[in-house]
Amino acid sequence: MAKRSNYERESERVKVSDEEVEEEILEEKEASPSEPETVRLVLLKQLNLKYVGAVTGKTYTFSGAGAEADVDKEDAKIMMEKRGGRCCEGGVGIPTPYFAEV
Amino acid sequence: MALVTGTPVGNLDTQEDIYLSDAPSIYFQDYTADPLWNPDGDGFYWGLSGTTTYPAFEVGCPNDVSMTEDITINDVLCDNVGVKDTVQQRNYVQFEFTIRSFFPYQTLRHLLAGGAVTESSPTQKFGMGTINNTQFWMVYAPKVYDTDNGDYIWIHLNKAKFVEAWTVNMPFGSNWEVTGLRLRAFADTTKPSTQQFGMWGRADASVI
Repeated sequence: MAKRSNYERESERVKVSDEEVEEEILEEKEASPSEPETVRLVLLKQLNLKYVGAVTGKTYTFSGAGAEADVDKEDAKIMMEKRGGRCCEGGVGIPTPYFAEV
Repeated sequence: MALVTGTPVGNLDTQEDIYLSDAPSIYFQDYTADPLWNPDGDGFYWGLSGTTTYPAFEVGCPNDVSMTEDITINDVLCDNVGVKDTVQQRNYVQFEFTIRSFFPYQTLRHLLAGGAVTESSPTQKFGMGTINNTQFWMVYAPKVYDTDNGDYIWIHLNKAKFVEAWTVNMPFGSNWEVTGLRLRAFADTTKPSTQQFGMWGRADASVI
């Protein structure tokens, strides 16, 4: 039986190793698909709103209640916390959100 | 308790010792939206359900709230015996009130017939131009009269508009107020004839 050279053994090992690496990469991709960088938000207030994202500095424009826009995730976190519309004693008195996620 | 004299005989509906006090809350929403109950199981159209496109607005801190109507009244005059009848026709029903809440502008601008609000932090602006005569509102005014039991009454108006000239009073040492606000409800011919202007409701499990 012909002996295999060290070079053949080594190249086979490397080949197998490359395949394993590719599989691992594929598995990783399937396990955690790349998440979108933006979130779609809808404006709940009856406003024409120009909003400058606190994190990215991007300007988002919404034309009236129900208007939607794609917002950077980092900005969206802060925008979802934005409240407005306070009322006086005896009213609803609960600040209501500006945005909701679509 | 029946009087010794003077109490009618036969079937008699007496009134309850429950009295209403203080102003109701007042909400309004674009007439384009459907009322919450459209209609309810009894065929009545009432309530508001705010949507993203058509939010319901609260009239903040209302004062001097009253509700009135305007009717055309004409006597049927007979020259031989005098007035034999009076014919009445309802023209409109309206709420009149003063407010002391000015914010947010997206509510105030409707009360003052202003333009769309533009917000660019930290400012809000709205214009004062021509009045949009195509804007109508549904109006819902509930009043809880027993907070322990959740008993309440409500008034719903189908198709109303802010009319009349307002006045913003800016007194020294006191809060600003907008007077002269009138939310006038017209006949809504899309509703049943018995509810063209609106309806009254009451929820009280202990007596109804």
